[in-house]
Amino acid sequence: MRRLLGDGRVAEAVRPIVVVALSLLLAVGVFGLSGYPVAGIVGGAVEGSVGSAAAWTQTLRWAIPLLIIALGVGITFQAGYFNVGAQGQMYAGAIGALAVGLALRDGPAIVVVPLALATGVALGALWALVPGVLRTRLGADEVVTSLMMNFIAVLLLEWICVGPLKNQDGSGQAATTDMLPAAFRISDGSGVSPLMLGICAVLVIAAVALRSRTRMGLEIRIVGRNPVMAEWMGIRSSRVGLLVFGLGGATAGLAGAVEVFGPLGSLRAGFSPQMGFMAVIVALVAALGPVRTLVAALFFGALRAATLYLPVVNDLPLAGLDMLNGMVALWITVSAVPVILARRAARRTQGAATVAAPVEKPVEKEAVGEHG
Amino acid sequence: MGDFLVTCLQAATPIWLAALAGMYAQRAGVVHLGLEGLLVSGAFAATATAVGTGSIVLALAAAVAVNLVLSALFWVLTTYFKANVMIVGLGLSLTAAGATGYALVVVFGSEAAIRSPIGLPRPFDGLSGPLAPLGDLSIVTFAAVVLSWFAWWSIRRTRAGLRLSACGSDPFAAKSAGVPVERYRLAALLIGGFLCALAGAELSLAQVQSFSDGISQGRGYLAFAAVLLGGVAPVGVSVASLFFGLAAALGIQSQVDFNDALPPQFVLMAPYVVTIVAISVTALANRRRGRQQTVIMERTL
Repeated sequence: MRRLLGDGRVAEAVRPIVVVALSLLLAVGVFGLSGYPVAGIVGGAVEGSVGSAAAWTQTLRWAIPLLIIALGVGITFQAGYFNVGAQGQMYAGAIGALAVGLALRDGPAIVVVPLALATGVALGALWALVPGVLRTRLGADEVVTSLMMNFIAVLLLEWICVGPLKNQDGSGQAATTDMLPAAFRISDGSGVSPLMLGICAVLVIAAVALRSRTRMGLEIRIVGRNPVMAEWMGIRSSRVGLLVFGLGGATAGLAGAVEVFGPLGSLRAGFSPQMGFMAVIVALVAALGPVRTLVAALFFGALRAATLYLPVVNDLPLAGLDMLNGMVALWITVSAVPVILARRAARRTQGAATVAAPVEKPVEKEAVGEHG
Repeated sequence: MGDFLVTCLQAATPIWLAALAGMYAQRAGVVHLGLEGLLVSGAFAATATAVGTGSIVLALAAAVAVNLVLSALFWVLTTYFKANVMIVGLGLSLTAAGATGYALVVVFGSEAAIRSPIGLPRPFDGLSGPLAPLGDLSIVTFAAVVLSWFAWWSIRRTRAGLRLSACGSDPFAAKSAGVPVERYRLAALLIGGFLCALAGAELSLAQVQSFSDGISQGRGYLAFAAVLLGGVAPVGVSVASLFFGLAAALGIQSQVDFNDALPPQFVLMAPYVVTIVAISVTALANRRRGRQQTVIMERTL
């Protein structure tokens, strides 16, 4: 955690920007080398993300779920828990919300929609509490368990879409569910509405308040930075752990519910497959700060909008975006500069007498399993 | 029955080899979440080369070469640039998935699957009688059996294998004893890259003889789970992979046999559920045995 946050606040702010810029350059370079017109791609990307009102809508449409999930992921990471199960938690929330919405399809929207969103939040939290409880009570590694929960959720969603909630209209659409009644939708197909933006604003403010204005926010960060000290201070870290898992799952579940009741209207097997990992990247680029998460989510939302637009104008394959996201993830935790500088400084002070490498790193790769 | 066993083996082989790769890495102290990416890159490199040259040897060589480079990159990023192992692993998987999908369009002009004119050789093709189903198995499946034995031998019976394990279980002690920990990790990752190249080639060139976007379907993560389920030991990892193969084959079978009674999705969930349970039980057993874990392991995120 400390390494991710860097030493100074300047480095903290600059590094993600440099990483993202370099990845963008690299990606554009790859696009250029493989024969796509670079100027056209850059122009198309700007046009497709911020060039018009419709483009801005697209950007916001993708930024909203990313922001909601990344806020929760950021809180979980702050406490030092590496929960990568946002994708599954989002699916769980989406399934729960849709099931409530379809079961009460004749009910009044003012009752059903909040109930459905609450169900989504609760199911997302429950989905996250499985790895959370296993981690805090038994010590089972949460990376593995949350990853496994993702796959279970993918299969559950697939089953929901071909089984119990399969669409009845006989259109032959393979793996989709029934549509929600139009009255329940909190946005039209564009996926942006004042209500959704309001939800986002409330969440960002809540995250800022939690982080910097509450005792719990402080405890979360202490547990993440120094669990031993947290214990000595009387913080019950297992409770903090459960809380952050619950919060992370709740936001991911909310994102899933908002996706269903907003732009999607129905569920399709394997929708938005990279959303969970993208949200992890957003949270990391934002160095886990809520306001920076907002900026990063907007940026990655714009990127998403641009890459959905580019195939239309340039035939650029959609997979280019996954490549770019992956590259950002590859370099984002790199901290070469401080290490090299420290080494150089050490060499200067200690001279040639140094035998071992002066900058020994602490244990950073603890084994997850047991070495039989 | 014979056919079913063969289906199990076919389903297990890519997971098996990738899991052996993950085991080497984990033994050396590297949590390898990049297996998925290496599977995809190996599959793509093998298929693209097979289409381009028509030579299965060149196809395998290309897959190995690409994966060795990617594994070395993984090592450089985590060792020299001090990046977080798990995030780099996930990043590698994401990049490979995106890059192969992109390359598919750039090189072959469409997002459709590319068909390979050749497949992996099948050493027992043309047998008759009760052994006939063996003919469907590619050479890589037999290689997996041999490589499992090799993994067991190299880890349990050689000095280098013991040192490798020391790098994972106690890097400080290993370093104090003069073991070049980082170099052992590089070696483990390179072996892993090689194994994943074979696994990827099996994935695309064994039965389907084609490469399509998303061909791996999370098998790399399944392999990662098999590493932990198998207790990071060669035999255990092999058994776990075969179990995952069995579950996958049952999933295929259940679509045919009892379509309505039990949806195939629930059969396919089994490996993940078993992994979660097994990991929890192991953690609980360790705790009971008094190997008290620190309350929260500090992760250098």
